[in-house]
Amino acid sequence: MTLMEILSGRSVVVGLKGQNKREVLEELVNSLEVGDKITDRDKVLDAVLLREEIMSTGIGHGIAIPHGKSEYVTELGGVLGIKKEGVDFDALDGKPTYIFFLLVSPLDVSGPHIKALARISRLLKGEDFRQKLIAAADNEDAIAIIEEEEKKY
Amino acid sequence: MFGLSFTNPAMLYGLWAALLPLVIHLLNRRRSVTLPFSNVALLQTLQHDRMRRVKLKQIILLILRTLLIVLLVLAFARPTLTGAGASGSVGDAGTAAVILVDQSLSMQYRTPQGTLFERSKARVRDILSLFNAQDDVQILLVDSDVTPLSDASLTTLRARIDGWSAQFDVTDMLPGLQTALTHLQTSQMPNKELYVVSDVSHVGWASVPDTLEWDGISVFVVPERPEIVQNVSVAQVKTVGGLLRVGQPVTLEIELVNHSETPRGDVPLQAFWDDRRIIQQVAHIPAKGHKKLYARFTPETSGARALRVEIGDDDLPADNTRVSVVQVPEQLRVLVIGDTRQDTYFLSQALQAASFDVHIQSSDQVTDEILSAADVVYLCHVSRLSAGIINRLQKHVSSGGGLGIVLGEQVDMRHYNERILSELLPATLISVRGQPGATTAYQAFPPELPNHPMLSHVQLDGTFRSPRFFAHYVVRPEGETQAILSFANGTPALLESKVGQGHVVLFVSEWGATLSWNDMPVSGFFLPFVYNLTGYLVSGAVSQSDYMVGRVVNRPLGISTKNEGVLRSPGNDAQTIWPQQRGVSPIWPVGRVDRPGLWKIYAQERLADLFAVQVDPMASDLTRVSDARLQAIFGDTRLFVVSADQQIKDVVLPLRYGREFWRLALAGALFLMFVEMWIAKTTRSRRL
Repeated sequence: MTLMEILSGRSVVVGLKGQNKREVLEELVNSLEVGDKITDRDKVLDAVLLREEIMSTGIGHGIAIPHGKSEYVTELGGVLGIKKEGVDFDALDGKPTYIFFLLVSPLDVSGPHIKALARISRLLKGEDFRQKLIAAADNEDAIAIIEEEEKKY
Repeated sequence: MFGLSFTNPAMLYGLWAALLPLVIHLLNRRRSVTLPFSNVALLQTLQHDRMRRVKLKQIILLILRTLLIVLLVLAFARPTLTGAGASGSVGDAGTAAVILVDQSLSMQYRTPQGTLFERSKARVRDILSLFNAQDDVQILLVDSDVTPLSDASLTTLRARIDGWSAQFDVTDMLPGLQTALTHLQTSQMPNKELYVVSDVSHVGWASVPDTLEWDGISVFVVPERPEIVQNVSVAQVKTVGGLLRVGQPVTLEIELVNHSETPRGDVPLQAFWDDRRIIQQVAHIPAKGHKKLYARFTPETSGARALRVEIGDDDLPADNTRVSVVQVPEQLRVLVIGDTRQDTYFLSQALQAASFDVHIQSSDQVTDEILSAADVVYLCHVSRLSAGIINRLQKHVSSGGGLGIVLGEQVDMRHYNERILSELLPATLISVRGQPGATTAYQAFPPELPNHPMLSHVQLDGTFRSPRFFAHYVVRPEGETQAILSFANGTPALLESKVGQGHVVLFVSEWGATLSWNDMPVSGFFLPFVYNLTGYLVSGAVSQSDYMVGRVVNRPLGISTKNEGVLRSPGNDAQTIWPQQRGVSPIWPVGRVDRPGLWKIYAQERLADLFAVQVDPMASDLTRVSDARLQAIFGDTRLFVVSADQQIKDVVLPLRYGREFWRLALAGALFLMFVEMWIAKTTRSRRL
């Protein structure tokens, strides 16, 4: 499973406008296309916020992987958001978060979810890749950076 | 042993609500009403029996209502029994588990009970026996990458274990741990468990921060380790001392590392150049130490040549052989650009003495064709360059060519700062220090020169004296430009920058025939320095041929073909690959290389390319991560290190939430509600 497969529909938002955690999450969820995969965005947002209440998904190094499982999701989906200025996301290292990878998946399916998490964790490990993503000029640039990085693994 | 726990203990605060019936009861008792009555004699007789029954019913109702609330609260708090015998063998409270299985190179270590990886597989089978079909169990195979084995039932997972094998990559636990943590935190299961089955070598934990939060997750580390580590590895093989040239002796440097606690005095070693043995000796290596060995040999043919070093067998065979592919260029072409013969004289003489193929051009005669034929280009005191030539030089360097810039009298500082250096080597020319021709005052190099390939064999240890510099430019490095060598007063003398795949160096004093800026061209320092410098500059042009296991490799095509090639791995597996256009260059898209050794690409029925894949030297280090480090990583969570003599189930099951009672509590509450309603109803009907 590649990152671009997870970002079906090439869901990338460079230049998130949200100024805090809630606004960023709303913006990311609003970027999900309602259709066969996502049937109710508000319910999906509730699931993501609920998960965030348990513990922040800001894993440090400027990255957050907000995620949620919901009955209103029929297939794994994802959105990549980038905010160059960073946002306080209650990250584990206490530093601002710049890269947000939202993952939503159905309640009863774990396989694709964990495959996606593994892929994201593997790719975002590289400092160079993270810096390039943060510096991406626009959505197309970010997609090109991801595609280039995916060729390495 | 049993214990009672609550999945939602916060709900237990609701038990205070159980006092409500008692409070209401007490409040009602105080509200006695006085009624005027004519004769109470009859009533007193009746009252005595009936009031006793009424009071008894009231007490029963009070107890029922209290119990009803208690059971409701308990149901929401989800009481569970913990302990091995709480509910059969594995419990019926759901479990979400992630099992990280280390499949890195060090897991190939051989012990009397099998390799560490074989032992790990047995442990994984034991772990899988702790789960039921409704549990969420994920297995992640980890080395520097993470491979999830999802979408499989427990039965399928068990069946697949036999097919696993240890790989050749180094361990990095971080991506696997992050994946596991994120997954487990999402789970609604009462039991959340992480298993790490690994040799727990410290290398794999180096990148793991202490900031990950494992609250609510039980972590079971299952170490599989040899009792004593007996391992020597070939950590490095390389040629030193500059360029490889046909017919010219070169030095081979081999580094061996002893990872054992005891010294090794008996390590047999052989090295091969292609298939010709060039060294055979026995090495002595201190405990936990390393040893460098050197040998001289002479390449007899040009092209890509394989160097292979082997040591004797030990408990980790995967790191006993190391292969490197080195390029021996047929002839190196050097282009010297200078506007007068005086500018190029000493440099071209030195290059020709070192058997380079030298061409001299003035700056206005340089064409694309001339540049593309050169491996290395020198600019000798050129005053200015046209935008077209600057652009061509930039392309030359980006694609791996070398460029040496030598400053001098005619240099237009402003033009260099604004046009040339800004494109080729970020730095600023500040001023000229000293007086050309004034030989009484000069700068020199310090006695101790930095350790750099450009300066090997030119150390000022008595063999050479430092040249004297009467005049030089003062240059401020910028961006990623670095000063490689400075004068004794600290002013940079030789600067370097990387542009694309190539190197650019800048020397701050002139090499002209008048010797007015320095006496370097006539010093013993000059010839070896120019030789090293040229070799260093050309190193970008000689394509890289060694890669680490786990990398994705694209090889330059090298030949003109649109037809398929055959890729042969060290295991002799064959795979068809097709040329692809990547940017301006055609490539063979080899993909991820997973085995160390010599990889070959055949095209048009001949060997078209050769490259080596090596294991990361860190992968051979089996030094155990400390318990304190594990504690720091997993914090206050429930961390358990399962020793070799412990059964995993004996550690896990006593900690696990077993049978859940919320359904029972809810059913009890419903039953009590019906009983309460019935008693209350009968009381009311009798009153009527």
